[in-house]
Amino acid sequence: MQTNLLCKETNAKSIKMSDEIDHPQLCLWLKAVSENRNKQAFTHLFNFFAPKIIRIARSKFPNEAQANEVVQETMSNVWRKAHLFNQDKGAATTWVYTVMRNVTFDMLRKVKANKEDNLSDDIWPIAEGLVSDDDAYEDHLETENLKAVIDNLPESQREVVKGFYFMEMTQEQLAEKLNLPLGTIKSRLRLALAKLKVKLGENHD
Amino acid sequence: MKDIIKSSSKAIKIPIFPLAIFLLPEGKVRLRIFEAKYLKMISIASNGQGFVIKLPKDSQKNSSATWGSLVKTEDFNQGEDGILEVDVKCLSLVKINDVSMNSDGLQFCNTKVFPHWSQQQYSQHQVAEHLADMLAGIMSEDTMLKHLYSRQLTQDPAWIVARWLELLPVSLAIKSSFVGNQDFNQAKNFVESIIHK
Repeated sequence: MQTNLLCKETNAKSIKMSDEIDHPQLCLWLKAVSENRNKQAFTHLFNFFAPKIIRIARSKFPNEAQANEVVQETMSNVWRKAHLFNQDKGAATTWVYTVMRNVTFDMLRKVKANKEDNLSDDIWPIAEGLVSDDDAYEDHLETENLKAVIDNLPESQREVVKGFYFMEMTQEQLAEKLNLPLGTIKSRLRLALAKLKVKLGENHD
Repeated sequence: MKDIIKSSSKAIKIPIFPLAIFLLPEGKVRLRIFEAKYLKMISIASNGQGFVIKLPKDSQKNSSATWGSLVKTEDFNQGEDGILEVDVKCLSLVKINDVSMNSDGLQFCNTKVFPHWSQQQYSQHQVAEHLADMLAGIMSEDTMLKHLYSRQLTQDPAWIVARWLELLPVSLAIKSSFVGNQDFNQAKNFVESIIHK
C-alpha cells in the first residue's frame, strides 16, 4: 500500500504555494535555459519544481529511489528540451508536469515489463490481502489527504496520479503507426470530426 | 472467483468508478487502484456483479442518458510500487440511475443493460480489410495491448471498429456520440475516414 503519503501541513502549504506561482518568472527562466543554457535560471526552476515533483512521485512510487529518479529524469528533460516550451500554448507549470507525466509513464512501463511473467494465480493472496477491511480503514485518512492534493493538481497531472494505463493513441503515435505525416493525420481527423458534427447537429433537429 | 458475473439488471446496486476512459463491450483496460474506497470497490465487485466505469458528465453531452461501461475483473497484479493493478473487460453498456453514496464516498447506482451495435454480428465484408490488419499490427507492437488482447484477436467487424474508436485520438464527447444515436455504419465510416491507405 502507499507508504509515503503526505501529511496535512505539506498539503496546506502546497495549495498556498500554488496561489502564489509567478508564471511570467517561470517563463523567463525557461527561456534563459533554452537560449543561453543559463545554469542559474535552471537552479531556480529546479528549486521551484523538484519539491513538487517529489511529492507527486512519492505517491506514485513508494520507493524513494524511484521518486528521486522521476525528479532527476524530469528536470534533465526540462534542461534538454526547454526550447520546446511555447508560452503561447500553456503555462510553464503545465509543460513541466507534462514532461513529468511522460517520465512517469516510461518508468511504469519499465516496471510493468519486468513484471510480465508474474501473472499466475499466486498473486491472488496478495490482491485479497490488499482489499481487506482493516487495510482500507487504516489507509483511509491518508487517502483523504492524498485526494485533496490530487484535486488541486492540473488535469494532466491528476491523470498520472489517478492511474490507469493510457491506451488512447496520440496523433503522433497514430501518424507513426500508419506511416503517414502528422499533418495528414491532423487533417483527416479534422475532416472526420467536421462531418460528424454536421451529422450530430442534424440529429438534434 | 473469476467468471462469476452473470447479469447486472437485477436490483442490486453496483459501485461506480469515475474515470475518463471510453470502453465499449469487449474492450479492456488495466487500472491502477490505490484509493481505499476503490480497493473496497474491487472487493465488492468481485462478489459477483462487477462495477461501472463512468465518464465525466461533460463528455456525455452527445448521449441522451447517463451511461457507463459495466466491467468485470479479468486479472489482478501487483505493480512493483505495491499498487494493485486490475485488468478489466467491458461486458456491456448500462444506463445509470439512482446514484447514491456510502459513508466511504463510494458511489453506487442501479443499472440497466442496453444493447449496443458493437455487440451485434455483421458480415465479414462490411469492414475494410486494412482496418483489421492495421489494428492487429498496433496490438502486436504495444506491450500492454498485446497482453490484454492476447487470446481475443478477432476478425469481427464490430469488434474491430469498437477497438479503433477506443484507440483513436478523439475527444470523449465525440466518442460518446457513438453510444447515442450513431449506429455501426456511422462508426465504421468515421473510423474509415481516418484510417485508410
